[in-house]
Amino acid sequence: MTTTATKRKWDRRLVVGLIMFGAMICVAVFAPWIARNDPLAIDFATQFLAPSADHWFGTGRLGFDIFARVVYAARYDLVISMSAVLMSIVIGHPIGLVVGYLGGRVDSLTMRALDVIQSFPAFILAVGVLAALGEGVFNLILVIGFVGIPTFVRLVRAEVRSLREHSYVEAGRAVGNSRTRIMVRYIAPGTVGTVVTQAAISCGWAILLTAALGFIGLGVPLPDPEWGAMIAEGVEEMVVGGRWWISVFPGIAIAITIFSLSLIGESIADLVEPTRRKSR
Amino acid sequence: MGSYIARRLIALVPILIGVTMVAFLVSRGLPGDPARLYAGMQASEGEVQAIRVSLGLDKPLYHQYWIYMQGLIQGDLGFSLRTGFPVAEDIRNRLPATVEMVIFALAFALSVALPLGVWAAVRRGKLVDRFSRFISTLGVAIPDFWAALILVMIFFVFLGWAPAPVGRLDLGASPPDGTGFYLLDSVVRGEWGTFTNALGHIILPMISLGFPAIAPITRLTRNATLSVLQSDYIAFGRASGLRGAPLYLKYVLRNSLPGAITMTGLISGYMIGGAVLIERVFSWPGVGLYAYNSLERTDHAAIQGVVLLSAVTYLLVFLVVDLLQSIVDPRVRLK
Repeated sequence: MTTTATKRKWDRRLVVGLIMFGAMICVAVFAPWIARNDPLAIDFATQFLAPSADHWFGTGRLGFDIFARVVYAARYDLVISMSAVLMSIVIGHPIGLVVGYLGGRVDSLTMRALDVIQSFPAFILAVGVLAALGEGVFNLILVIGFVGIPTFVRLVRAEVRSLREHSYVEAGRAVGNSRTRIMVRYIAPGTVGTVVTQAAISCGWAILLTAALGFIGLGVPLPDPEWGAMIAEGVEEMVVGGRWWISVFPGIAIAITIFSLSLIGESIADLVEPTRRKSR
Repeated sequence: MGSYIARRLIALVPILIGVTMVAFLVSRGLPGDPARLYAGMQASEGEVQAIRVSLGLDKPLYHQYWIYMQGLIQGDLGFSLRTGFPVAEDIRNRLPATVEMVIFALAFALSVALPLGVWAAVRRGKLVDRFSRFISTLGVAIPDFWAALILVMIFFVFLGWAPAPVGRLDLGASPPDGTGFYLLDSVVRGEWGTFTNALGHIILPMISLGFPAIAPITRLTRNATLSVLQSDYIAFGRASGLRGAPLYLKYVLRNSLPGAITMTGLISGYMIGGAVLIERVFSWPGVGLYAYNSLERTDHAAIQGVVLLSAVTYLLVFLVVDLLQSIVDPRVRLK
């Protein structure tokens, strides 16, 4: 395989990923135009209908139109996960930058604190904190964002530690730039690539976490639609009544979204770090 | 080796203390009144105050932490409001169910991922490699609890091959006496009917929990194997006439193991969390279902007990990972 052929292939993955994820964003933004039915309309006359022309994805226990709910849930899942990742970056990036550049005691103390936080399986920690805080969109963002901070601190710190040894940084120091200026103008730009890559991967992970929390009833409170909670609504119906459609469609929506994000993340990783490509 | 283990154990102490502090802060430091929760909504202010005093909640936070730690060292995790038993006892009773499932899931994931990773590396760029990469990306994208439901749908609802997702045995079947590990107990006691029953029930949970782990382990094994394959000693082995299984199993796989072991450690932490979701789908009566049921009733002592136990388990798993690592690669001990 020639280099050009390889390059074209990764670009294609990025394009496919971006189109799929872009489509999901459009679904979220234009939800009222895409779904004809009201996602919150409770109607016992339309209880448990199998997928049909009127209800593409069927209806649930309360007569909810599943298609409308899957479409509207994109808003909740995408907003929650993207805000959470944004929060992780906004808090994690500066911490990683500072402790990575300064090193010493601040650095080792921060790392020990991260060790403690990461001793908890992320999902379990989120469950524990959310159980104490209570459900709701804001708390979800807070908790998922918090759980994601260590990843970004470690990532940025590792990047900074290698960047600060470069001669251009040394040159910047020699001409008398302040520490803050070195960090912000010389080092921070070099961390953008890895942070963007991780942001795409983390976003997929945050969607998974949102859905998992929703699945055990710690997510967006009913009747607002959220993919994970929607899957949970269908568990008993599937096992007892064989009504598969209630849980199947929200799961497909999750899978498509995360799949597109991991395509994006992987292809950006290959762009940012060309040596990675060689090992494939 | 002995001094290495000792050093690792000592390094664990400050982290364990940190973990208890986080668990304590999550249960006490956040908004909400534990005494009110403990007493129930109907209790009078006087009763709540009495409970506050009896739980030590009227004391300053550091004092409360001290009391909490004293209890913890004696294995006291508080009382579950839902079951009425001590949380520690509840968890102990349910632990074998979860451990049994996690061990099976890990064994399943490793037995698929290790050979697949080596195979994909050997046949790099070929169909197997592409297939394994596809499986990897897919494995990341599919939520495990949803995959569990899909498996139930196909193999129980539609095909009828799998037993109903009602726990570890058919409804009405009596569990074997012994350790609580049903498969082990039934073999020891020679109860073959119970054994096949339990085996039938564990297959789908095993696949659901193990499936997401296949992707990262395969990927890591593949990349580690690739670099090993390009090394001088493999070239030497080949030149000396080693081929096929002996070469791959003895030299290639062993040298790709360190990465796979670390990844397995990470994965088992993920599985501790994932068990909550999978146990809910299969009504599997383990610690995860206990946590789920406690969440439904906002049983805080029980939830915090599970949270703390998960962290401690995770730390112990990583201790084992480090020890295994030092066996596979003796250089680790010298660091």
